[in-house]
Amino acid sequence: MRFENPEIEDGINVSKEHPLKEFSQLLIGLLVIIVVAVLVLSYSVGYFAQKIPFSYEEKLVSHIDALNVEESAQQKKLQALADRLSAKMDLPEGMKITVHYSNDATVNAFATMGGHVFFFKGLIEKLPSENALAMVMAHEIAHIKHRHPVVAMGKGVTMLTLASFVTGASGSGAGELLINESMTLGLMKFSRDQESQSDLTAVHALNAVYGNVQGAKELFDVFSELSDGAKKANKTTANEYEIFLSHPRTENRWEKLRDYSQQRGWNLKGETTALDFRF
Amino acid sequence: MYDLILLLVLLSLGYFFGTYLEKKHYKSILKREKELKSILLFDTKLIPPELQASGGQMVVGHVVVSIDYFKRFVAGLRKLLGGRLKTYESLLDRARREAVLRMKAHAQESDANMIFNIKFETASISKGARDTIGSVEVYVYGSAVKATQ
Repeated sequence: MRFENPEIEDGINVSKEHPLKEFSQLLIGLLVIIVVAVLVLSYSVGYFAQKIPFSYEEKLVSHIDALNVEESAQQKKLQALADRLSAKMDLPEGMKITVHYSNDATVNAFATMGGHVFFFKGLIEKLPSENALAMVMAHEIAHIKHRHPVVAMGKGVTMLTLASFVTGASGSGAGELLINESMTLGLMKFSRDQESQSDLTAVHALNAVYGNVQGAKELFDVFSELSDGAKKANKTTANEYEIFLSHPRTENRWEKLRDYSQQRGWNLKGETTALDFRF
Repeated sequence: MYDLILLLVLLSLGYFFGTYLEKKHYKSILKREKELKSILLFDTKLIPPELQASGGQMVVGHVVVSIDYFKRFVAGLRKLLGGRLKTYESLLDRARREAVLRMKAHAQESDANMIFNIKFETASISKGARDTIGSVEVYVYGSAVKATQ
């Protein structure tokens, strides 16, 4: 008997498929699955987060020191304006708006959990009238009315969980890439939708209090000037004015509101109240 | 954005170098497998009685291989869905065959022409830790003899 080692046919242990084929199939397939997961989760979390009682939200942030009101003449004035507007905004029962004022030069205002609204000196300085200030205020109150802060937090927590799951399961940079790209795609629109919704609610309140929507026009004129000025000075808008970071484009916002107001027969122009604000 | 560009650069580097080196390696494997064909491999413990064997010494061959960025990335995607980790298969196939070739070369140096009782050992060096290079050692050994048939 003669012993020999026969030659083993090639390609038994190794697939002949082109590796780029597998790569593209997996990447596209998984991206679609995860984008769908992000959208489904974000819509359902958004739906359920709105059902969280406002009092829970207040309790959740009650221990945060930064949310204690620092009383000042400016703060009282802003609070009075907020109260006037929210009276016309049909807020759910038990929802209280608390306004904070900061002497900071930041050009921004924002609403956060527990009905807290923050105004910065930097923004108020740039506003021409009380009506424009009221537009900003009504916009921030609208965020709270629509429960945007708690929805955003719910989505944030859910997305972090999903992200750590996908990254952990894949155990490499591939998972991280997938989840980052899907979240950008899925959540960008969410933020813009919230802004548009708040704009519409705000313009309702503005019309109810002042009988015209001139304040909205003035506000967006200021935004346009700020963004043009920043462009001319060759600075990126986003860096200088935080307010532009998460919002839709200024021109589009005003056009939308103008059409909306015209359809309802509201006065686009009218008397404005001077802004009596000492810093 | 920069992350994405960096990732694309790493992926294409991994893909082009990985593919080039793999092709080159397979070419060399096939060539040496032909050259060393006369050295026979047996997984049996005992030498068949009809063979006249002399000598006898342990011969070893070992290889440490690392995965490239592209292969690792594809495997990372694959792990989310399950299935054949095709990009790892070719890597390990190369590692095993290279280890056997090195063992055969060792036997040839020792003037042997048959290796009995062949055993493979594998050790993962990275142990699946995150952000480390996935690398594995393949170790093969056996008893080499000179025999006539």
